Amino acid sequence: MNESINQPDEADLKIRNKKRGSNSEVWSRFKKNKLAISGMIILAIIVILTLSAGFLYDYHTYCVKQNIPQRLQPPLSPGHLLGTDDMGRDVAARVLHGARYSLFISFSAVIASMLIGGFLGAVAGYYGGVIDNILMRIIDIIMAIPMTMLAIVIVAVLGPSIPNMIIALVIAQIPAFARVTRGSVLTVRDMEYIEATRALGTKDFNIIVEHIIPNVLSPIIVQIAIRTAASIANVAALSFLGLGVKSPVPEWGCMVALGRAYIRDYSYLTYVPGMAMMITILSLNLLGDGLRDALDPRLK
Amino acid sequence: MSENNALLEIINLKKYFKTSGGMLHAVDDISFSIDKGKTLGLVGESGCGKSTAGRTILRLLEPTSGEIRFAGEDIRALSAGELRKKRKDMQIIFQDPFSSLNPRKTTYQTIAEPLKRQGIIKNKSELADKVIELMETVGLAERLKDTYPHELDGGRRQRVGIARALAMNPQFIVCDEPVSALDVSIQAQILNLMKELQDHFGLTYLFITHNLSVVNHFSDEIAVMYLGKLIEKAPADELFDNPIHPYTQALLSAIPLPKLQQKRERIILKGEISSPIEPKPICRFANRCLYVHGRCRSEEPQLRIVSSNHVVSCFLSE
Amino acid sequence: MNKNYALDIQDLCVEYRTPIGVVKALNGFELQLERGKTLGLVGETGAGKTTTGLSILNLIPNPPGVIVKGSITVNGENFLEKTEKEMEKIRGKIVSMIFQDPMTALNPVFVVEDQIAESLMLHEKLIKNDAINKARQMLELVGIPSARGKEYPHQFSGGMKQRVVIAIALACSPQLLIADEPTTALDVTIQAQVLEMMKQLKEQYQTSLLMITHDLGVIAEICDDVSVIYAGTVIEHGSLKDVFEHPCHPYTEGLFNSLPDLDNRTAKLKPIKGLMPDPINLPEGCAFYPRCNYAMPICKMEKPDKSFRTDWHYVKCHLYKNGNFSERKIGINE
Repeated sequence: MNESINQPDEADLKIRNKKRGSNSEVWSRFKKNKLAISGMIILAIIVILTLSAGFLYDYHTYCVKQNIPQRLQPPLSPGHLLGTDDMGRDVAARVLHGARYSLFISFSAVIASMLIGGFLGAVAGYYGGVIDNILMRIIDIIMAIPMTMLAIVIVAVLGPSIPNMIIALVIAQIPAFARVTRGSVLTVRDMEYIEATRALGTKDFNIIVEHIIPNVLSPIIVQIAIRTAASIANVAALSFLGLGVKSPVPEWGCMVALGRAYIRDYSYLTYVPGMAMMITILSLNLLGDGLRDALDPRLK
Repeated sequence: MSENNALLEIINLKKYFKTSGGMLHAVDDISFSIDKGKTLGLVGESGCGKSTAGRTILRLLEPTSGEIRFAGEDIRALSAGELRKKRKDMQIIFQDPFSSLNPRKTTYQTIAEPLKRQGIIKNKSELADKVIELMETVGLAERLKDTYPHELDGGRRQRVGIARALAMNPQFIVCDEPVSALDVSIQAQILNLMKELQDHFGLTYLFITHNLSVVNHFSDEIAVMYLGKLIEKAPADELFDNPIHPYTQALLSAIPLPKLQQKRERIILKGEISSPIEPKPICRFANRCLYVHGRCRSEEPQLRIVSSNHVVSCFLSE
Repeated sequence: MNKNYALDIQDLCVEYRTPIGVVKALNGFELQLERGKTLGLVGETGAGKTTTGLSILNLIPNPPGVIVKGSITVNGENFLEKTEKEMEKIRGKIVSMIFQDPMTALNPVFVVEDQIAESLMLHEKLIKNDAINKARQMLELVGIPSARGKEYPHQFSGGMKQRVVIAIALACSPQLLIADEPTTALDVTIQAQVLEMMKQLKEQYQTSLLMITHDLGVIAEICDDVSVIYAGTVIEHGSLKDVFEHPCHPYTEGLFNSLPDLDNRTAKLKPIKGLMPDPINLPEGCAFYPRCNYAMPICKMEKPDKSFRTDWHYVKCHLYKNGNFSERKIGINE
């Protein structure tokens, strides 16, 4: 019955040429996008610098301890690559340590939003009907509240601190993930292979975990990159307004706030952390766009 | 149709969908049975309800009313858990070989899933052996086990779908247009494979298609559907030699034959298929029928026996 | 040229230059369509049928598609030497094309009579009123009541949409109509209606028709001549009678044997083993060699030339190199 199935034929050439999983095809598409690659490299550099911040500059010595005689030195002064602030603290050190705060807070907020929002979106998309309606209306309500106001309310109730700021961020980001996940789940849910696995007797939970989630990961991954970028800006904004991180923590938003008073003569106090923010956000966005293009199934 | 040989019995099956315009009668009171080891071809054009019927029989869509008896057991009465267990006896092969396979799973994983799901095989090496055995049965070389669907051509993907359906040793398989999306020469390969599997494993098929030459080749009996109703059913030879319902006649005459000699009289139907939403209780083919007369527009015809094993629902045949 | 050709394609080579390799879609492709007749171009997926249709109207997407060489002559003019502006005047007026999928061929936001009128206003320079009137006439011609001209595409069924597409294609009375699988997506009874209509219109307008399809039954219904395409080349060509009653190429034989025979219904089907070759890695000799039941050593090394069985029936196969058509080695459903 098998007609020499083991003899290689023309189709094998096709397979040999493309003998890689869908992941390496995505990677080769991504590689071609120069902007995306630069975004990725810049981000990698930022992460490496961030991780080594503790080795380069001891936190207390450089970021917290005041050094009034050395205050307000401009960039490229001896011993202070990016100058010092009004308390004499090294700006470069503060920027690097600040990165840890920005990245850590943003990323953990985004991951938490993804888990919660993703789960809600998946359930809404898979079951549809009343469940979908209720969940989506809750999401709509959350979306209607401006993030800043939400943060103010939370901070007013719970007090200003980093964890509380993260809570505000998480809640504000849930709608984005919920909607993206729901949209993807709606598309995947009607694919025949979902029907096929139901015909095998698979339970709903297994269907969601084994079949639906792996196929909706792509847009979620893109969202993670993009929302981390947005969160960094949000964290900075909240800190700038005094709703989150407080001095002397070297968070970028705080630094910008402090620099405000000196903006005329010592503008570097504002634009150095501002540039740091901008570069980080830009690289994350480039990475996110590159991922989106590379993962686009239409290009298959 | 001997009662004791029937593996599948469908009695007055209905599936309606609620739409904004009213109730859509997708499957409207069909009845038939299939004997063990035989193939029933279910033919009709788009919108006739044949695909819906196939899925409703497996309870992938819940029937609105009617009975489904599999090996004498009432399928509708099963609870969700019992139904899941029953799935291993009743499987389905889909039309589109691309969208019916999870693009993120390899061939091995797709075929292994049903084996794991039903708890048939517990240990890993036994599982691997069984998967390879299934692949060989459907004509897939072992070296293809780590390929993804997009790396395979349509014919091979369809073989993966067939292997998946066979994994649990089903008795009955619903084949929903299994070769329509394939090239002609690949169609022939897959049809031969399905026939061999039927002989080898004693499978019973419900073969759903719109392609009449294929269904003729493959089926013992053929049932013709139009707008949710079963309008004619007969053994394959009989249907082709002696079609009685005007729609069946038109359908058969419309097949473009790749032969030059037989220039038969083409019956060209006028008009378009009417709407399946809230249909009136008249003959649903009346607006296109060449032989329409008064009674057709006021009453709905019922299925009547015209000769042994041949039933038709048409006032002309009475 | 002895005969009067509406379309004459010589030695056409079309490639798609992709990152994973060069896809040779058409290789030395040749085709002649006589004026007023219907030529069927039959082949399977990947053989190059759609590329042929698109090349004629110079619609091959430019990266990555490249027309490497060859000539496409219509009415004595070589289309490959024309500029884009000149081609715009030709498309819809001298040569029209019907695509496979009627669901997406019509613009969903315009009513159908406007879509037909668009072509008339563009090519025949009619004013809007005249164009709409002519459009309504075209609708009646294809069997759609002209009152429905003010409806949108989504209000029509698949068969009717395809008729609208045909009305648009024929509105400016083109000399050459290219139909790429026009009835594949339609139900068989609707297909019969549409084919019947196309036959009548063809008679009426004296249009030459290139019918691209994989369905041998459709070919038998409507075509006068047949070209069989495999891996980017025509491997057999002749009149309908020639190819259906005296098929010579083993691939043609294989195609007929793959079809279920309505007369002998339980006969086992004889599929062609294997798959079409990868167009990135075409073999040196005959492209059909790995799948051929009659393969000889020479087939692997050399591409076969044309061998003529009659004045117009030719086949590219080494079996017939010495002109020995009488001892036919192959047969259908034997």
